[in-house]
Amino acid sequence: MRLASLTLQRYGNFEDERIVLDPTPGRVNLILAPNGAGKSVLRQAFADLLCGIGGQSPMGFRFGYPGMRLMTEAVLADGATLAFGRRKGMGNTLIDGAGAPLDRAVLDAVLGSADRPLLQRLFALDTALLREGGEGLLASGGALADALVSAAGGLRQARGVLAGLRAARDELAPERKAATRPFYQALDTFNTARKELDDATLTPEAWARGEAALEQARARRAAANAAALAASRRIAQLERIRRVRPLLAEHDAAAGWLSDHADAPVLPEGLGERLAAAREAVRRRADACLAAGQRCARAQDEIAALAPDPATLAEADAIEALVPQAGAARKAQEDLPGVEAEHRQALQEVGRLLRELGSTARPEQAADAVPRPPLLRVARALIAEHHRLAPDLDRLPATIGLLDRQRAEARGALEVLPTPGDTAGLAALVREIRADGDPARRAADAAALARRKRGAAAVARALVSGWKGSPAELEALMVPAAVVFERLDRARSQAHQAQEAAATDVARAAAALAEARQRLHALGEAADLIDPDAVAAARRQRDQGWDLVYRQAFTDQPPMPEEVGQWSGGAALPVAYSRAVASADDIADRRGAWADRIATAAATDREVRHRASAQEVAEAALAQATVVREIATAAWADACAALGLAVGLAVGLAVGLAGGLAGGQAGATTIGGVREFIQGREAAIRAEHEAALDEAAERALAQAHAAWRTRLSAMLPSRQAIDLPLAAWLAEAELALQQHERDTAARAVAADRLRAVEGQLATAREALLEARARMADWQARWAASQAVLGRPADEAADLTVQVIELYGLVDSESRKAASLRQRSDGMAQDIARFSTEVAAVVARLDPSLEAHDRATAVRALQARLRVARSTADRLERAHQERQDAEAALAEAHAAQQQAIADLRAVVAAAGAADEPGAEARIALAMERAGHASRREAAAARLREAGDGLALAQLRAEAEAVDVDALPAEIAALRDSEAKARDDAQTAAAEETRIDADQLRAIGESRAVAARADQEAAVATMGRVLEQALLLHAAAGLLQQGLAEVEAAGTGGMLARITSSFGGLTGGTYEKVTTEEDANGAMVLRVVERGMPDHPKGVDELSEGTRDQLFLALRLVAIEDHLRSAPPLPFIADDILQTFDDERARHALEALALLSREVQVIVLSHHRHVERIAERLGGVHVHRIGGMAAE
Amino acid sequence: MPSFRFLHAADLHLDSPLRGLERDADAPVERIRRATRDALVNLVDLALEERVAFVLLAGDLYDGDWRDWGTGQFLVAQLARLAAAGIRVVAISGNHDAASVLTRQLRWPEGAVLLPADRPATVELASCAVAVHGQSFATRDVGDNLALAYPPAIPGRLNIGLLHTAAGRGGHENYAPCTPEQLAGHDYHYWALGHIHAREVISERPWIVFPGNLQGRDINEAGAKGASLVTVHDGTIATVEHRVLDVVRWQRLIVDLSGAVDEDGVLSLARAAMAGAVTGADGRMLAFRLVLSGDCAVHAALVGDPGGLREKLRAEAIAVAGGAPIWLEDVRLATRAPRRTDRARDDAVGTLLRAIDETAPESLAVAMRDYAAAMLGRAPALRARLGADHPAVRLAAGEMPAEFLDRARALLLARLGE
Repeated sequence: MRLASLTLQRYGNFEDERIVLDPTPGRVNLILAPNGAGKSVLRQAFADLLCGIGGQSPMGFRFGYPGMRLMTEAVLADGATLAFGRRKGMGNTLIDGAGAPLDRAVLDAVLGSADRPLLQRLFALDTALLREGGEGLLASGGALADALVSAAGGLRQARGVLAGLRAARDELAPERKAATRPFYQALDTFNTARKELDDATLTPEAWARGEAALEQARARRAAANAAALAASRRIAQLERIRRVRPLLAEHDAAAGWLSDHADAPVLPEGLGERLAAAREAVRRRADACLAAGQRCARAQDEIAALAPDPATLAEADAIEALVPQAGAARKAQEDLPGVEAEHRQALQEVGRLLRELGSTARPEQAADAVPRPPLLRVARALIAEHHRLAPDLDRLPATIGLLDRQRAEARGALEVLPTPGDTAGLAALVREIRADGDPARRAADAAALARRKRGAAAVARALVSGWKGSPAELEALMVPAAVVFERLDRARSQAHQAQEAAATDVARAAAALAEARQRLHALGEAADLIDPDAVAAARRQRDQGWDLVYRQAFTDQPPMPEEVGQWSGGAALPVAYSRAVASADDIADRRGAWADRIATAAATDREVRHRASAQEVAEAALAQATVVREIATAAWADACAALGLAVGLAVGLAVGLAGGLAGGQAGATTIGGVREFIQGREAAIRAEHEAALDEAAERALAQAHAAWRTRLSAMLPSRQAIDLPLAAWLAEAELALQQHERDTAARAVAADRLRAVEGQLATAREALLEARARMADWQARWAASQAVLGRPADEAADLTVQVIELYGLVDSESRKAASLRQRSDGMAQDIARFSTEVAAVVARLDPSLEAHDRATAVRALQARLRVARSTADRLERAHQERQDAEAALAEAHAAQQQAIADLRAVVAAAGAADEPGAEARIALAMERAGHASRREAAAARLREAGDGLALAQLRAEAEAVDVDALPAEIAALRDSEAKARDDAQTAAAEETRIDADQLRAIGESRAVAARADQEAAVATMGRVLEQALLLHAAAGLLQQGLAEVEAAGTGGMLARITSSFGGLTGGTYEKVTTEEDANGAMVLRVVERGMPDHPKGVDELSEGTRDQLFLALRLVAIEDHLRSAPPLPFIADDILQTFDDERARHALEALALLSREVQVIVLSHHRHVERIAERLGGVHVHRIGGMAAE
Repeated sequence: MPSFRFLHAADLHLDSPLRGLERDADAPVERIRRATRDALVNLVDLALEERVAFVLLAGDLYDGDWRDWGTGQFLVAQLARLAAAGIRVVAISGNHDAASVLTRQLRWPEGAVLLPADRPATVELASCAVAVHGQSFATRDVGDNLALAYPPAIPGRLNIGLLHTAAGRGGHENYAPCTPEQLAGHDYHYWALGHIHAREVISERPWIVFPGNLQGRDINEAGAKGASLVTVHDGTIATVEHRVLDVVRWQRLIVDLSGAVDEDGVLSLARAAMAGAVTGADGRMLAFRLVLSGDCAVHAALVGDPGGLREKLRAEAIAVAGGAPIWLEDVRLATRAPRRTDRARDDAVGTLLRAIDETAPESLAVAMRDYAAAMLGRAPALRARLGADHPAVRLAAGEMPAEFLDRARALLLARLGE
C-alpha cells in the first residue's frame, strides 16, 4: 500500500492539513518541516491511521478529541485506490472516504498482520527508535538475533554438535590414553589376555615334564606300596606265630592224655545221656500208670451220681417252639386295641370324603363310589396337556407379531447395504503377485542382486590380467585349451634347454680346441719345433741350390745370375749351396732329436683338428636348437596372441619369453600368467553370465511388475489415472479386497439375519396352527373323559382337578381302613393259637402249671428243659472220661515195660553188667572223647590261624622266633608299614594332582580362554574404534561445513546485511559477521576494509556508523518482512540527522532502492538533505509548517 | 562289495577363537570358548552313533600359530575314542596346521594316521575295500598342484582322494591349485576336500565334496556347519548327507525397517526376526548380527544413538531367546532417511548441509589417517587382527571408503537433527 495523500483534522497541532504524497514506486517522499512543526505528529499519524487512534491519544493536546480524524487516499498493490480514515471514538473507528463506517476486513486485507509494535520496529522510525530497535534486534532474544540464529539454521547447535561429536569420540577412544575409556579398557583386557596366553600356553616340553613327574610319582608310589606290603607280610607272619603258639600247646596236651590212656573205651556218643534218659523214662512210666488208675476211679464215681429226665427231653421241640410264640402273643395282645381304633378312624375319614363328593355310600362301599384309577389318570393327563397347550395359544400370536417387525427391519438393513462386485479376478491377481513375494522387496533384491553380480562381473573382469577389452570380446576370444599352452610351454622349455645344452657343447668344444691349440703352441715354443714343412722347405732349398750348381757346373745351360742371386741372396752359389746343405742337414738333425715332441705335437695337432671338427658339429647343433627354440617361441607367441591381451600383459609375456633364455623362472612365470589369464577369463565369463542372467531377471521382474500394475489399474478404475508403484497398487488392491470382504461379510450377516427371522416366523406360525389343532382335539377328549367320570362336560378343569384329588383321597383312606381291619383280625387269631398249644404241652408234662398264665407256663417249661439237657450232657461226658482213662492206663503199663527194657539195653551197650558199671565206663569214654575233641579243635584252629600252613611249618616257625622280642618287632614293623603307606599315599596324591593338572590343561585350557578374551577385546576395540572413527569423521565433516558457511557468510541474511551496510558506508565496511560471545549469545561483528583480522563490535563503532548499521539491519528486516506480508509505507523521521552529507547520500540511495518495494517517506528539517535528494533525483518534496523552499 | 558309512570332515580349527564377539557377562562364555572342541566331540559322537567305518579329516585341524599342547592332546583324546571303537582315521594337514608345532610333535593313537607331506601316500582299508590317497601340506604356501601326483586308482577298491585345496573356488587362497575337471579325471570315486569353509558338492560324478568347517568362527561363516556322512552300498557311493554338528550358530539377520516410524516399531520388527532365528538355531547358541535396512522415519534416531540401540536390541534378543543362549555380535545400520529439502535453503543451513554432502573424501583422509593410525598403534598387531577390511585399517592406510563416509554423514545429520 502506498499513500497518495494524508489529511489530518484536529490531530496534534494540525487543525486541517493535507499532505500530498507520490505513490510512484522508486520515488522518495521528502517532507520538510522545521523543528516543532509536527514531524513527530506526522509519524504518529501514520501509525494511528493504520492501527487506530488510541483512547488516550496525546494528539488531542490542542483541539481535544472531538473532530479528530485522519484520512488518506491509498493506492493498493493492484493499482486500485482506497480512501479510508480513522476517527476518534470507541468501537470501530475505521471510515471510508465519505466518513461512513468501513468494514475492518477491508483494511485487514491491506495491512495483513501488521500491528503498532511492528510499525514502530520497522516502518515508522525516528532516530531513537532506530537505535533502540537496532539494539533490541541485536539483543539476546531480539528479533534480529533470533533471525540470525534462525538464519544460521542452528549453527550454534551445530557448534554444540561438533563439540559433542568430539567429546563422544573421546569418550570412546581418545588419542591420549585414558584407562577408563572403552578402547583402552579393551586394550588393557587385550594385553592382560596376551600375558595370560603367554603364561597359560601348554608347551610340549611342559607337558613332557608333567608326564615325567607323573612317572616319578608312580614309581615312588609303587616302591612305597612294595615296602608296605613287605612289612605287612612280616607282621602277618609274626601275628600268626603269636596266634598259633597257645594252640600248639593245647594240641600237644590233648595228644599226651590220649597217648597215656590208650585203653579208655570208645563208646557211642551220647551213651551217658541215653543211660540217664532211660532211667528217667522208667520213673516217668511208673508215675503214669498210677495217674491213669486214679482217673478211672473218678469217672466211675461221677456216673453213679447223675440222674437224667427223659420226659422233658422228649418234649424239647414243642417247648422250644412255644418260646417265640409267647413273645408274639404278648405283643399282639398289647397292640390290638390301637389297631382297632385306627380302623375306626379311617372309616370315619372315608365317610367324610364321600360326603364331600356328594355320595351317600357307606364307608365300607367306598371302592364302588370312586372311579377306576385309569380313568383318573386319563383325566389328569388331559389337564396337564391343557396346561401345556394354553400358554402356546396365548404366546404365539405376540411372537408372530414381533417376528414380523424384525423381518421388516432385516429386509431394510439388507437393502441399504451396497452390492459387492466381482473381485475374484482382482483377488487372484493379488494372490499371484503376493505369491511372488513383496514386490518392493523383490525389486530391491533383484536390483541389488543384479548390481552385486554386475559388480562381481566387473571385479572378475578386472582380475583378468591385462585385459582392457569388453566382456563380449573377452568371451569371444578363441582361447586355446590350457593343455595347449602347457604343451607349448613344455616344448618351449625343452627347446630352450636343448639350445642351452648345444651352446654348452659349443663352448665346451671351443674350450677344448683352444686348450689343444695352446698345448700345441706350447710344444712348438718350448722345443723350437720344426715341423715337416720346414724340413721339406730346407731340403727344397738345398735341392734348388744343387740344381743351380749342377746346371752351372755340369750343363751348358747355366743359370742366370739373377736366378742364382735370387736363390742365394747375393752370396756365392757354392757358399750358398753349402749353407743350404748344412741348413737342411741341421734341420733334419734337429727334427730327429725332437722326434718324441714331434710325435706329441702331431697327436696334439690331430686332436686340434678333431676338436675343431667337434666344435663345428656343436655349432651346427646349436644352430639347429636355436631354430627349434625360435619355432617353439613363435608357436608360444602365436598361442599367446590368440589371447588378445592388452599391451601390458603382452609385454609381460614378451619379457617372460625373453627372460626364458636366461633361465626357467621367467618361463614359469609366463605360463603362470597364462594360467591366471585363462582362469580369470573363465571366472569373468561366468560372472558375466551370472550378471546377465540376474539383470535379465531384474528386467523380467520389472516387466512382470509393469504388467501387474497395468492389470491392477484396469481392475481399480478409481485409481487409473495415478502413476503408482506396484506396491502402492497392490496396497490399493488389498484395501479394495478388504473392503469387498467387509461388504460381503456385512451382506452375509444381514442375509443370515433375515433368513433366521423368516425361519423363526414360519416356525411360529406353524406352531400356532398346530397348537390350535391340538387344543381342538383335546377338547373332544376332555368331554369324553368328563362323561366317564360323571362330571359335567363344561366343568372347569381346575374344579375337575379338585374332584380327582378327592377321589384319590377316598381311595387311599378306604385302602388304609381295609388294611387295618385285616391286621386286627390276624392278631386275634395268633393269640388264640398260642394259648391252645401251651395248654397241650402243660397237660403232658406238668398239669400243675395250668393254674398259671400261658406265658409263665412257657418260661417254667423252658427252665425244666435246660436242667434236663444239662444232666444228660454231664452223664455222657463222664462215660467218655471213664473210657479214655481205662485206655490210658493200659498204654502206661505198656510204656513202663518198654522203658525198663531200654534201660537194660543201654547198660549192655556200655559193656557193663549193671548201672554203676555202665556209669563208670561211660565217664572214662567221655574223658577220652573230650581230649580227642580238644586235640581236633586245636588242630582246626591252627589250620584257621595258621594261614593254611602245615602243623610242622607252624611249629618250626614258632620255634624260630624269640617270643619275648615278638611285640617289639611287630611294633617296629607296623611303624615301617605306616610310613610306607604314607609315602605311597603322598606319591598317589602327587600323581593324582599331576594327572589332574594334565587333564585340566587339556580340558580347560587357559590358553583358549585367554585367546578368546583377546578376540573379544579385539572385537570391542574394533567396534569402539569404528564408532570413534565415525564420530571423528562426522566431526571433520561438520568442521569443514561450518568453515564453508563461515566463508560464505552466516547465511543469506548476513550477506544481505553486509551488502546493505557496505552500501550505506560506501564500502568502508566489507563484511558483517556473527560470533557467539562468552554467554553463548549471538553478536554482530563488522569488518572494516583492509582490517579483516580486527572485526569490531557494535559498541566500538562511531554513532553515525552504528546508525548506518542499524539502518542496514532495518532495511534487511523490512526485506524479510515483505516476503510474507504486504508492503507498508516506511516513515523515517529525521533518522539522517547524525549523517554527514556522504552518509546521507548513501542513506538516500538505499532508501531510493527501498522505495521500489515500499513507499518511503522521509521527514526532515535539514535543508542539506533536500539538496542531496534533489541531486539524486526521483524525490517528491512536500513542505509543511512554513518550511520554505530555498 | 561291502556296504558301510564314513564321515568326511575338514577345517576343524580346534581352539580357534570365535571372532567378533565382545565380552558379554550374560552370555555363556565357556560355550563360546569350547565351540570348536564341542563340535569335534559331536563329530566323534556321530561317528560312534552311525558306526562308521572310518573318518576322513581334510586338513586344518588347528591353527598354524597355535602352540598350546592341550589342543593337540584334546584332538588325540577324541581320536582315541574312535580308535577304541575300531574306527580308523585318515587325516592330512592343510595350510593352517602344516607348520604347526603340534603337527610335528603329536603322537596319534593307534588306528589314526596323518598322511606324509613329502609325497602322496595311500592307506588301504581292506575290510571295506577302500583306498584313501592323500598328501599333507609341508608348508603353509603350497603352490604345487598336489593332485597331479596322486597315485592312480587301485582297481577293485573304492578310491578316495583326500586333499586340501581351493579347487578353483574364488575368494580363497589358492593353495594346491587344481580344478574340479582335473580331479574328476583322476578316476577316483570320491574327493574329500578341505579348505573352503562353506559346504559345497561340486560334483556327484565323481563325488567332489567340500563339507565346510565343523564350526563357524565368525559372522562370515554363517549357517549350519558340520560334516558329510557318506553311505557306500555295494561298493558304490549311494548318498552324501550333511550332518549338522556346530554348537554355536552364526546368523546374519537383515531386518527391513521400511515403515517403522518409531523405536517400538524397530524393536518389534527386530524381535520377529530374532524369534525366527532362535527357532532356526534348534537349541544351539545363536550368535547373530542384525543388519537394519530400509527407508524409515526412525533412521535419524537409530543413527544418532547406536550404542543405545545396540543395548535395546540386545535386551530384546535376551527376552526373545527366553533362556536360550544368544549373543548379539553386532548391529549394522543400513537404513536411510528420506532426503529433505533443507539443502535447497538459501541460508546457512542449506550451505552447511550442502557442504556436508559435497565434502570430498580426500579432504578428510589425512585427519582420519592420523587418528586411525595413532589408535591402531596402541595395540600390537591390531591392524592384522582387525583385518584389512576394517575401516580403521583402511583409513590408516589413507583410504576413505565411500560407505564409511556415508555412515559418518548419516551420523552427523542425525546429530544435527535433520
